[in-house]
Amino acid sequence: MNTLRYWLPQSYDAFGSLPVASWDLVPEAKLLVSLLAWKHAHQQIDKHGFSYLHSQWLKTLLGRGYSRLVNDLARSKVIARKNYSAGRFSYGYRLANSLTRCPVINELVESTRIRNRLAKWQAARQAEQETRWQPIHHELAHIDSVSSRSIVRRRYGDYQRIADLPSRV
Amino acid sequence: MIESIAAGRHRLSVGEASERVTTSVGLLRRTIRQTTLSVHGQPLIEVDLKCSQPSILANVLAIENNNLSPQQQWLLRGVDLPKFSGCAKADYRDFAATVEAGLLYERLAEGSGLTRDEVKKYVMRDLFAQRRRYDAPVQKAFFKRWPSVGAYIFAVNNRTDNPKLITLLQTIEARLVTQAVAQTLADRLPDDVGFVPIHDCVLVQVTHQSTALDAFKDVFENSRFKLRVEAKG
Repeated sequence: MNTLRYWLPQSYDAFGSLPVASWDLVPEAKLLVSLLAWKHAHQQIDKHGFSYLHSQWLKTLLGRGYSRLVNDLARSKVIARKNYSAGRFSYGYRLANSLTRCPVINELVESTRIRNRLAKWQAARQAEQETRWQPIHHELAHIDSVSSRSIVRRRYGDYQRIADLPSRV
Repeated sequence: MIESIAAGRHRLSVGEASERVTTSVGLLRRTIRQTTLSVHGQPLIEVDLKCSQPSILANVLAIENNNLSPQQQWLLRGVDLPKFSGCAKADYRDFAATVEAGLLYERLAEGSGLTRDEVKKYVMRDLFAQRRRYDAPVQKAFFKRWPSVGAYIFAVNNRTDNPKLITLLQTIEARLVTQAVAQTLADRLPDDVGFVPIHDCVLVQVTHQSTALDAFKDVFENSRFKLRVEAKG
């Protein structure tokens, strides 16, 4: 079952933010905006609101059109980009203020290529993770997956304002 | 996040630098954990290591390198900390007594004019994770009260190509709580009873509170660490 969802600002218009020639990159644009909205909501930003995303990682998730997509989104002022510093930090990205202030909605990821890329990336990350696991971590993961279904007493809505979401614990 | 947990998509990851375990439940804000989570209709309770990282520091400083128990060797493997020569000094003894009583943040709040919550945040930022000394109220209050411990912290943080003190303390904390205590609990609790370790605490059903407290105490005893735990509802 496909449960992957974008986390998009309600007022974000994916087609309107890209030139017609780049409409093939609409799923990638939604993924990038979704990532930035999530980072903003979880305060994973610097004091100027920029999230630092490694270009190699973005290329893995956004594919070959990554550079064109970023340029198009920057041109339409959906995102702002801050330069990188070699060996210190990656490019910083920030969503337009109008997008960070509006509510977010969940939208199903329908693009097969995005789902495949995310699944591939997640599998690689999990494999790399498990090289660090001790036996107790496997046991904890098993305990959690068995018991986690029963631990939620109250559901939260699908829809909240970005500013209302909890920051990191 | 809550929907993911409810759907059984619970994530667990182990940090590269400090072996810290991060879980989906651990990423929830404390108030949400307390009001939202339950197991089989029973509320959960957090059994928490009091004043965790400062207490671990006080215990590690007191360890004599040539007299390590097997559990201490396991806890400190790969953790490169220089020897502390000030164990006999009055300020170290006062520091150890203060953290053992769980009063470090209160004492620093008195000395710096900040609130306890502010102090708690700044102890990590301005002391344990800081290479530079500057005019920070928590640094000043700490050095005024415990100068030899403060000097040791900055000596550790200023070593080149070595992790900062906070990373080393988090590594020991992760081994204590998410490995030793979690393993003890997993052995003692029935198979169908879940629990979640979150950095310096363990989330369990209220009915298993005493099992969790005992697990912590036994691990502390085995490792000869003087640490305190408390249950938070």
